[in-house]
Amino acid sequence: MAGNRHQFILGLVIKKMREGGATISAVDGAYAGLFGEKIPLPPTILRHRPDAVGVKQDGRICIGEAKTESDIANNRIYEQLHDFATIELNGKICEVIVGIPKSSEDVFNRSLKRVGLQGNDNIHVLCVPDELIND
Amino acid sequence: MEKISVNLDGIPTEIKRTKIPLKQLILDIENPRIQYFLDTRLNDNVTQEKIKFALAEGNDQYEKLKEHIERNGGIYDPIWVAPQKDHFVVIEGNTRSFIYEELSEKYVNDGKWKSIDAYVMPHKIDRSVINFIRLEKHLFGPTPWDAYEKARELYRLHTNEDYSLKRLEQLTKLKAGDIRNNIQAYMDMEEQYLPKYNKPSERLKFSYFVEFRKNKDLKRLVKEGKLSLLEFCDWVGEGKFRRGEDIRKLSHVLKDEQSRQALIDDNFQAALDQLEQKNPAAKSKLFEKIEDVAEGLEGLPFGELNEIKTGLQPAKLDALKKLHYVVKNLLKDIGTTT
Repeated sequence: MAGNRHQFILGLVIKKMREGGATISAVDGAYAGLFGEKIPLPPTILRHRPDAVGVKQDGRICIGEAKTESDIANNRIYEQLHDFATIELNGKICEVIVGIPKSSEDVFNRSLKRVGLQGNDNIHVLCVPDELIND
Repeated sequence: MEKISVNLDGIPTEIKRTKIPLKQLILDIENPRIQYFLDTRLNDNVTQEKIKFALAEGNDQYEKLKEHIERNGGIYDPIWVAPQKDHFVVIEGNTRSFIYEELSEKYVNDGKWKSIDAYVMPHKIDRSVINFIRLEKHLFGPTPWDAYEKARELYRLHTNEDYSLKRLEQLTKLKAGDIRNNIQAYMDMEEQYLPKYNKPSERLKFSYFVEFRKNKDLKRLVKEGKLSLLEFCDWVGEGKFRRGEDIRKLSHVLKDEQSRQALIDDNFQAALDQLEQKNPAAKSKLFEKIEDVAEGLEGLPFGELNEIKTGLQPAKLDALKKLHYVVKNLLKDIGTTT
């Protein structure tokens, strides 16, 4: 298992993207689940490069993001989520799946509310129980 | 080849100790250590090569273990394998088997890396024995599983293989509270992967899902292709069930074509109404108990029956006479005689 918290959470985000019907087309970084295979780097979308990109059968783009405690405290990520959740690609608004540690859920939700993203139907939050994350 | 008799999970088992050529080994896809890699893979294609990658990449101790085995000139604790046709599935020792393969490529002329010391289990082996070996060797072994893999395996044993908390406590030597927390954490994770419905009232209830996974009859129907998880999720999402207890009776409904159709067309209650026409136990706790009693009496063990016959269990004989008396009078009242 990847020792890195970010990569660990990204793995579970990618699982959620796949189970939601997306075919993964691009992943950033040394992603463990690649098993050494090559896959393109995700393109920059507006101002940011997502961690993973997938395409659903109806052509809808699905964007995966993994966030650790330190990312969640950074305002930049909310600007990033706003970009991803409002852009139209392939004629459809993108679906965004964000994985966070469960212990950061309250802080994350408060920040989403502050920037007007709470309740956005295009953003799905995957809370990873901290007990599952290796330290 | 040395034959040894050992107790595995309390079951006396005859195993053999022998050297097995590496080319006859199959790495285990169910190995708990690599389940995070498999859960998070990018496509469905799982090969032996991918398993090898996961074994090396997924274990921080891999390089140290390899160095140790190389320096020692082999392993001293045999791996565990189960026969599968002409090959052997590695139940315990997948990483060590792969290290042997790597070392056999490094030292091509050294025969000692071409086969590995192994305990061979019998052809027909109970799954509980395999679970026992995995837990025994890895939950506290020299290279224990990571948090995710540990929680996943405890959840799997509890939910899919019906291991009670008490049994897990005995097998793992973990405290019941820790086991419960691990299982709950994994359940919380799994719940987020289930299909969700838009209205909060229509959200899939996870307790239904747990009941579904625990029910042996439902598991059999899934295996036979007569029921799918997605179909079940839809029924839950559409509000066809009222409580988790309904799921325990679901297999009876699905086995009867008309009741199944009533479930699809209407809801579980309608399906039970339909089923009641043929099976009164479907809706009545009393008739459910009558069915249990009839089944229990028909299957009364020979020893117990003999003790009643020979007068060693007078209270049991009285209970049977009472049952007979009550049933006889009831049938007389109804106007039916046997």
